[in-house]
Amino acid sequence: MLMPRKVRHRKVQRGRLKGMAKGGTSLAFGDYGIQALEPGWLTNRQIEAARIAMTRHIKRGGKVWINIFPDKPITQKPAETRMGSGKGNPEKWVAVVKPGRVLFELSGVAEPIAREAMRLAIHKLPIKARFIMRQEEA
Amino acid sequence: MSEATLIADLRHETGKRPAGRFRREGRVPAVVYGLGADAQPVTVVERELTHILSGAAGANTLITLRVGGADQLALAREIQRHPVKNNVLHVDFVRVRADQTVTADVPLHLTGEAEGVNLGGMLEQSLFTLSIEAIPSAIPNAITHDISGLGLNDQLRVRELALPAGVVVLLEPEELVAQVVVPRGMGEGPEGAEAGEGAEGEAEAAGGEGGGASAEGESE
Repeated sequence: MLMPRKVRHRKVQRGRLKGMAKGGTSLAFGDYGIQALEPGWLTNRQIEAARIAMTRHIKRGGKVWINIFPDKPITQKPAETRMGSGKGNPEKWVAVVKPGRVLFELSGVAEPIAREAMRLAIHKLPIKARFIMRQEEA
Repeated sequence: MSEATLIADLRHETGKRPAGRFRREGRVPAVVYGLGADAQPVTVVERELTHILSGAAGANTLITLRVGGADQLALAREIQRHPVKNNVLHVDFVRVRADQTVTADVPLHLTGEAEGVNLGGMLEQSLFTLSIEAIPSAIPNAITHDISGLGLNDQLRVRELALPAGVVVLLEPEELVAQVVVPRGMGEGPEGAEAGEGAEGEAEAAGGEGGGASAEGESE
């Protein structure tokens, strides 16, 4: 599962998800990609689930790139706890995603296979996303 | 090399609010500069610009820009697009002279099926556009290269590309364009491949459990 090896601060503030992605909005490595259409937090479990769905569908051949990294720790207080007593414990890691960001890239497979693999992967994500291709992007 | 004519209106207002107004009216804010002359803020019709940019030569189309009755040759550069809608938000038109070389990024198309791919290898293309220098009328729409002779573990370098006359590549000759790599688990026969897949499955399962365990560990 993706997570940072070490961090400077164990807990961080939530921040806001305003605007569009500033970079990483076009395909850099592969021929096909998944592009986010909504802002959101993607946990490392969701990223891993999407990757597994994709690699299982393409079977052999093909290469997958994960363009996002979950480097933001999210804290949660235990259930049935009174408020106060400081910030909760780090529970999960998320990648902050804004609309337009290319999340995954894929190459080395035919378009119908890539389309289906990425459709399955998109279903593992908590945000709306779409399939993009190098030709459409230009 | 494609050519097109585009009529541009001089723009007297700058800033995000007038720019947004122009975009809502179906016009794209743009700027014309280069060749030592002053920069001119202009607007162009989005529909016409998109038509030019989606043509065969794309951003390398030689545009005859008609600004205030005067024609000037220009190339569209720094095309800013909306990250989701993909429509053009702003364009820089760089004035060029027909007899002076300019730099351009030309798409690189690999044709044919590599021999190594038929043997089970995977084609990895690392360069999708080629930086070239040429006079505006000699910029090719795309550079194509036949890769059918590429075997397993073979590499295609920039120096091996066949270029049209008058075109100079600005990249290192040894830069990698594409290679046919042997996928993991290949070369061990079908049993090895199956074992590899099985091992991957186990690793995934173990990773899932391990991840869960580590998450629990963190919560404690």
